[in-house]
Amino acid sequence: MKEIIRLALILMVICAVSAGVLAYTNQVTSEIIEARIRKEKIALMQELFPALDRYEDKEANGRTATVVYDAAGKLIGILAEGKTTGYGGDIRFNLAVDGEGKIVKLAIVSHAETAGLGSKIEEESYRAQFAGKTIGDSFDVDNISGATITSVAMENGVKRELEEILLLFGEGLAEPEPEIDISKLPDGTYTGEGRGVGTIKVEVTVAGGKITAIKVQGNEETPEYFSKARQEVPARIIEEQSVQVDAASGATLSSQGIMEAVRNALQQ
Amino acid sequence: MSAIKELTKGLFKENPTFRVVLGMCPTLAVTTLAANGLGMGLSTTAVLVASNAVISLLRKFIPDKIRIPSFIVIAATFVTMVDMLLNAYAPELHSQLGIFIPLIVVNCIILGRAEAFASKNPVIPSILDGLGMGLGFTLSLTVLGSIREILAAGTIFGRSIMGTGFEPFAIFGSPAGGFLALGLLMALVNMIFKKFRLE
Repeated sequence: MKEIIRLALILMVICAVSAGVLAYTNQVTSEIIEARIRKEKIALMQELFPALDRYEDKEANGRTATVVYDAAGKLIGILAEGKTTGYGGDIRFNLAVDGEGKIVKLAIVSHAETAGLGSKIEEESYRAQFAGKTIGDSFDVDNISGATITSVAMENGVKRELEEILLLFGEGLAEPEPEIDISKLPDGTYTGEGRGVGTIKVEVTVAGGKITAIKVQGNEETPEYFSKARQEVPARIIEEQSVQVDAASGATLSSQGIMEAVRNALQQ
Repeated sequence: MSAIKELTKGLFKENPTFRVVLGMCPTLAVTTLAANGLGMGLSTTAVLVASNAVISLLRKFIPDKIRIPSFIVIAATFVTMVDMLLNAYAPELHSQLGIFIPLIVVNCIILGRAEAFASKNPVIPSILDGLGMGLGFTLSLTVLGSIREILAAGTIFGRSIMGTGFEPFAIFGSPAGGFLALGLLMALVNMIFKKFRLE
């Protein structure tokens, strides 16, 4: 018993000394680190937005962004992080958007794409293709050959995240998509297009204010994923009578393409 | 004479990666690029030297029964301190080594050298042992990282060397390729040791 107490005390002393040393180190270094991070951030923003006068860190809907204003209080830029699901997992990127909602710079934060293929999204020549694009533009940039899934994930992901960032922080740069009131739609068949891996076409039948049938066609999708999305997503849309339903797991791209196509059909 | 021996044994004869086969987890995880191997190796060396020195100093104070938790606490303290100090005073270096630093805590070379050497030997030889083992680890990781980088991307330390006609072996950039490269290199090292009767 005595022995156990002795051992425990010695271990406690070691841990206490360690904790003390770390607490002291942290106290000394944390201020320096924070000041440096703040300085680096301001330097980066000044480079991207030379008219910078002040900036605000904002949070909305679980996302954070830094919004930059000029001396007149006009919004001149937004910095925010976005992510998309690539071939090897999440691709995280930073987007810098100017006062007109155009992408100024896209930077890759982290990714797990195949080295030598998908990892080329890091290259300046690929990323630069997104500069100047805004909502409504085509995000169809030159793909990386041999890395179709990564390329498509980037195109769809950057577009989707840009829309959400502008909606949340853009102070009027983007309008939310109008809600579709299915119950008021006249009976008939509507056709629309969406983007999965390639173009997905749908034929939506509306009868008595309800979606009753959805026909899906997509020749460029990966067959094994597409067949899953085609089975699950239209059934969910009909069941929930909503154009925004859960994606078929493992088939996110095709699922989102189908939803986009149905929304597109019903908006016309 | 014996001081030189303590320093050099980690480089070849008792090389932690190829001879003692310790620290395989960081070895396989970070050696996709030569620069990563070098960074991980040097960070580990710094922690290894410091933890060996302190453990050697405290070897008479730490009772045998609680030596393992004590060693881990000491190593973890150093790793965290190195992380914070680098971040504050050498941010450039930290941004390059930053991701490897937390990985060092779980590197069994630290614990292995503490247990096998520092807890039984005076301070100076322990520091030399830590330095030698650390540099041996750095050497192995840099070689492994270079081979994988050349095969998977055709570059070394980010510089293209294989020309435009080179078709990369993407598998060497993936974990499976890590095992393959490590296994082949280890076989080669064993062959050299056998051939020259170095053991």
